[in-house]
Amino acid sequence: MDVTLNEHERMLSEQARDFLSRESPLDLARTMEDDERGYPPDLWRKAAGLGWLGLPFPKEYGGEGLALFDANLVVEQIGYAVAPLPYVASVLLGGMIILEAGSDEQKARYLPSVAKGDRLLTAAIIEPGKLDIGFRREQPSVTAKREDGNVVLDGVKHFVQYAHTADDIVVFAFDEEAAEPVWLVADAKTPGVEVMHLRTTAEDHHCHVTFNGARVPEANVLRSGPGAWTVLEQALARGAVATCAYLSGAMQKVVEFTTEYAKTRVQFGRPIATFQAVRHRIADMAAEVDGAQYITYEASWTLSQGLPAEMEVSLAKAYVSDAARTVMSGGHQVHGAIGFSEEHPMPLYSRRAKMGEVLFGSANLHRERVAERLGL
Amino acid sequence: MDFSWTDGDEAFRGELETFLQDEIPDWWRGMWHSGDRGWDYTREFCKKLGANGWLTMAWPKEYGGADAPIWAQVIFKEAMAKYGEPRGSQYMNLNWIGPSIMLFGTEEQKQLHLGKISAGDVEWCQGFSEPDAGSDLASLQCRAVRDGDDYLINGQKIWTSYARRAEYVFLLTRTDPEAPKHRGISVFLIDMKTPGINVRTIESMGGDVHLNEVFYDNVRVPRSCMLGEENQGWSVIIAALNFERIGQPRYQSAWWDLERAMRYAKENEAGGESLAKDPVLRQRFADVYVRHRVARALNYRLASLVAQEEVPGPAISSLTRIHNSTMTQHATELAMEVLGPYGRIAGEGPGPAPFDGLVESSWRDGISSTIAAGTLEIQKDQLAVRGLGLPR
Repeated sequence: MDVTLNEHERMLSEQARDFLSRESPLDLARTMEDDERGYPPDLWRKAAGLGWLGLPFPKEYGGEGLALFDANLVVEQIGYAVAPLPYVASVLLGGMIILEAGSDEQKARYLPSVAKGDRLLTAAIIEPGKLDIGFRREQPSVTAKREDGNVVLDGVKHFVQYAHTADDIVVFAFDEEAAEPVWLVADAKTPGVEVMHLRTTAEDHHCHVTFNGARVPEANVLRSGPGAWTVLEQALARGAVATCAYLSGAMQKVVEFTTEYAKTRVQFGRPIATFQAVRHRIADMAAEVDGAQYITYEASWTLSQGLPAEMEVSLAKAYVSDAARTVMSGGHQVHGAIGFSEEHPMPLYSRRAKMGEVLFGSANLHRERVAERLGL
Repeated sequence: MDFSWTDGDEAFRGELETFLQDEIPDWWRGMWHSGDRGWDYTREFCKKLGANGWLTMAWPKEYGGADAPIWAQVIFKEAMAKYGEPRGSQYMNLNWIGPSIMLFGTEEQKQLHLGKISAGDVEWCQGFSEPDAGSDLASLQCRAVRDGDDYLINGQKIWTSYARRAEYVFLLTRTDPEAPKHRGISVFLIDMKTPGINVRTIESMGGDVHLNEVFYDNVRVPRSCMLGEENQGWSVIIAALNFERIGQPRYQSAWWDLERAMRYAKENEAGGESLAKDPVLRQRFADVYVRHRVARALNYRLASLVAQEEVPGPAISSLTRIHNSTMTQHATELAMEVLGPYGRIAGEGPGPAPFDGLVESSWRDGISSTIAAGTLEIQKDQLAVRGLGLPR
């Protein structure tokens, strides 16, 4: 038992913080909200140069061979900086689904270019009316029909991040003939793949994707059958923990700048932190952040070790989703009007946290999963 | 990062559990709720722990301890929490009174006290709070005045747990009323049978002999009873509290409250439907369990720092205590709610009280979890001021 970062983990985390504080100022995050691509290619290449984009892939596929836990330390720092990087979509979802579900040939085909930053992936999982797909093993409504060496996709996927700019979309669909779920990779340029680029609270480039008879070569099928459910559950678990890591980093930053503000903002002739109502609210925020960070580490470590992690993942997402709300509303309240201004960092953080709160399952969903695992 | 237990850790946990299952009597209902028989039992229990080498396992070898690794100490404390702290008041002796004497005591004081403590055969109380010195402990007024080779002590202490039975008191007094409040305090180790000490028990919500007032009326003690230097008592207290760095595992006793409530929900129904199927209750059980695991993770982080011989900053100890104490109340409140009116039947009566009234007694104890040993508000202020650097 050692619930602290070891030397290697601390170095990775500090390196990520230094790098992003230099390379990803808040203005970049602001600019990228309205950017057509949604992320800066320069920064993405530099992240690849640091080995981040293949961090959890084995070396034979151009990766660093490090742990998922390490990748989540990077995500924590991405959250701290609200850096506009499609890291979770491309590496932890798209890339790692291929790593888990693909053949050697498929892994060799996709992963080295993902690690180099030459290929951007995303994953299409959620469907209209089926937000908790996977957590409940609901049959996906996007159909995959095998037809002369191709798979024909029909149906709608919601909240596919960066689908508008991704090279390939990793799709979870249902093969009605075989009556089994299937994972496959669709080139985003395939005719019949229609992407609607949404404006969201977080401006984090989520899309609705319609597959309209899109034909994907059968060679792109990663995995079908009951094993496809396991791949989905692992992907959702990674998504949930990565979201927790992102929120944990974002909350840490909010507590830092809120603390600074309360020290320097003077009203009634004294810094507002000298009022206990303000000071204790910040203490509450700090306590939430601390809990969020360590319950996330526990989930991330358990998942990374390949141990059964359903309980830990749900504990983390349930706690962190609520903590994010407490911390962001506290940050807004302490800052008053200035925190409502888009020139201030506060909205960049609170708008993203509002999205993270519900991605990969809300607190309520995960509490219900905790209850099930407690034998209730 | 490593959240795994070693085989050795698991073996120790198993060995302890076997011992406790055999050892703890059926009638035992935790240290506050087992009556005089219970207090007598804590003494027998500590002697047995001493015989197994577990009582002072956290102590250094030179004082008869085993220099036990931090994780063995954590496992041990979790086991004590599960069984309602069968060491009774003696956990204080082991956690900080003994260690303070090792650090500040004279040879004579070590001879007198450490042997008794490590044999599990002495009870202490702590003379800290006064009627006008609660959260602002350093403003304490109980006076000790030099008189030849002796000191004469006059004043009043309050909320002193265990005073009715204790043989010694770890007493904070003011020796220099002119000095700034933190610099005029001295510590005495005093035999409770010394003439002039009177104990009045205060009936409280917390069960039997929980709280007392202690009056010191011209209590004459020799200078040899003073622990540490005159007027340096505040540093003795700070050091003493530092020994308690890994704290009491409240998250673990709270788990047992939650476990009882969940068991009750599974075995009982409302409107023909199992309580365990109620969607709102399921959310709330899960919420308390989440808080339990968060508090546990933070306790393990704190223990990890201690294991690395780091001194955890004020932020970390306050944060950990905030999570521990608040989650305890979430657990006890929920358990009372789930048990409904049956949860209000006291274990001391003719019954039938579910779980022998343990849910009811835990709720009573739970109220003090955000008050005793530093209120929640004091913890938040410590976190804000000393942890985050916010101005007062």
